[in-house]
Amino acid sequence: MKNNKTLLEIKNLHTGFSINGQIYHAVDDVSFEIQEKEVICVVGESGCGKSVMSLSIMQLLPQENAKITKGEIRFNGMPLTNKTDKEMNNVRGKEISMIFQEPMTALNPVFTIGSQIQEVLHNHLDISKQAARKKSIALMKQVGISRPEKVVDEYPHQLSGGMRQRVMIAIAIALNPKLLIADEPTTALDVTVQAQILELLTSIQQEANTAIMLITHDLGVVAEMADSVMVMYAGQIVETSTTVELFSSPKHPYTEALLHSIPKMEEDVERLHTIGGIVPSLTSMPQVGCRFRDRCPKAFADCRSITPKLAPVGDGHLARCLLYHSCYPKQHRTAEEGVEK
Amino acid sequence: MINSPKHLKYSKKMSPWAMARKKFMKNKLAMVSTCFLLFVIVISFLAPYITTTDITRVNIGETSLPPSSDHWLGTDKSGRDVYTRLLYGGRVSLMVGISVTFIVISFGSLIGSIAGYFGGVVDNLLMRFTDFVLNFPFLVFVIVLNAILFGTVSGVWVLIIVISLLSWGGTARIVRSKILAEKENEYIIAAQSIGTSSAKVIIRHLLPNVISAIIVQATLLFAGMIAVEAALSYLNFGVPQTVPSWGNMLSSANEPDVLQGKPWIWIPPALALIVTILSINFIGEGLKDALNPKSTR
Ligand SMILES: Nc1ncnc2c1ncn2[C@@H]1O[C@H](COP(=O)(O)OP(=O)(O)OP(=O)(O)O)[C@@H](O)[C@H]1O
Ligand SMILES: [Mg+2]
Repeated sequence: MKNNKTLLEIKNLHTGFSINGQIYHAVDDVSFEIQEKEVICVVGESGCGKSVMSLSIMQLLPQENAKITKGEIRFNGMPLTNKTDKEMNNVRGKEISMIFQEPMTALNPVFTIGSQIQEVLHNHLDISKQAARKKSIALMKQVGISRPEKVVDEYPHQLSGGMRQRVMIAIAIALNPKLLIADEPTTALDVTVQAQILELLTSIQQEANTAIMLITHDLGVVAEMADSVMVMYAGQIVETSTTVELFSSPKHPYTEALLHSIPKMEEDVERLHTIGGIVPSLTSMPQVGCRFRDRCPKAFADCRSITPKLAPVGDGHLARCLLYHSCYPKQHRTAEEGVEK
Repeated sequence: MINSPKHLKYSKKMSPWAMARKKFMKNKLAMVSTCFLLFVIVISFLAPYITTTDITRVNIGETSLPPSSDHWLGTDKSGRDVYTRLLYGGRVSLMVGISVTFIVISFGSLIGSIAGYFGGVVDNLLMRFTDFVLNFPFLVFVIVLNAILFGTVSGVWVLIIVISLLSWGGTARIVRSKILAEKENEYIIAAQSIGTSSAKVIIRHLLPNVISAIIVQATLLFAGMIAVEAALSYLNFGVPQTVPSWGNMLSSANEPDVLQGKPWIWIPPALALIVTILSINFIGEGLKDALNPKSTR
């Protein structure tokens, strides 16, 4: 995958919310790349900033209190951060599409399924009503909706959750976008339907060569789908590597804890491992030191006073943890290494 | 999805609108009220074709006559036919009601949806302006504006413009709060994520989903504005005395001898007002019920 062209490039992204007149960063200095045709998974607990990051890419942050304060987002080499809303509208739905968590509420209850699929076509193409209708039926067939000629005139309340998510996918892939952002697309669905939706996403990625950024809580999904993984904690990337590497040798204690919390068949439900404590809220974020230290079983004195940086800990493997010397900031590293020698 | 037997009547195949319509048709009181209101509107606006008498003609010889075959509802103190004036008066009262409601709903929805959708500074500015207008003392401003505009705009329209200018604030607030709640729904961000423009998101996605609140507000306004017109005209601050309206007709009940001895002069407009306002309110209740998303979706 690595020899592909870079599709999305994010550099030092900072996205802040203004709370009581002060700005708190929900995405704090995030940099990464997505290659063409790549499936990258973003994992992390609730409140880690995964959705804020995907909305930053789409430039769909709540206007009243959220803002990208620093950093660059480049799509196919073209910067997105300084585009106007109107210019972004040419990108949204055509170049980059998004699928949401709640298929129950992501469709407008007062319009037919067909008209909602046709909307994306009319937004970007000069297309007649009949042609759009035909295309919408073809798209529904493509995402595995049976009897599309009938469903096209039905309303969202007539469809099951899985069907609605298929409709959302049909809308998202209507114009063959190069990047599909799926924000927990299966969380609201039951298990058998989850598998079908993931299968559908995989087949889209393979047939249409769409890159997918998949946000999920479910490491099982990651293992199955992803080429590479990004672990987020408290607005920052704490570890990133290929999927195989991450599962075989996780470096960050947070990743280890996440991997540990996957229920295993042979284990009792009571012995399910959970990570104690919660993600610090935006307003109570530690300014110095590691953000995971209070919940970390391996924390030591430095974790309070020294802020780790994201640094290589293996081949194509980055982590942000003071257990690894490369993660010490420069001024501390020389001292530390001196001691060791 | 509600699957109680009661709701199975409303087929799953129907659009939310079709279900609401069916529900409304089942509401007898609302249907009767609708028929009555339509009847009142039709005969009021057809008044010139139904009646032959000249409404402005003052007939000194026929003042304060009780109902007879010549004058079905009698004549007033200037000898004008009460029945004819009632129809023409309905025309004015309803026109004030309909026009004010239309202007207030359009302008209020525009301001409210822009404020609610964009939020932030836009919202702040628009809502401060709304509060400012809402804090005008209504009666004082009606009197002052009436005096200023009098002569530049013809008769009834002075009143329509004045009342509209002072009344859109409530609607703007209601629409804003509905939009604020509605825009949290994921389908709004989903629409934005496929490149739909802000104007289209408001018009195509948000307004249809808050339209039930707007319709109910419109019925309340309609009934309220007919009452406001009547009250102002009764107090002689409304439409000019030369134009018949239900309020103007009522103002003759000021005089004790009319109130006590000549009920045919004031009872017809009073009844017309009460029954019309009541029927509008029943229609409003019916619409509210029919459009309630909990029972249709
Ligand atoms: N509109 C908002 N106003 C203020 N703070 C917000 C807003 N939206 C999100 N946040 C904060 O930003 C942080 C990141 O939220 P985000 O929704 O991105 O988390 P997430 O990783 O997507 O979680 P989940 O898995 O629950 O979807 C959280 O601390 C949250 O409280
Ligand atoms: Mg989220």
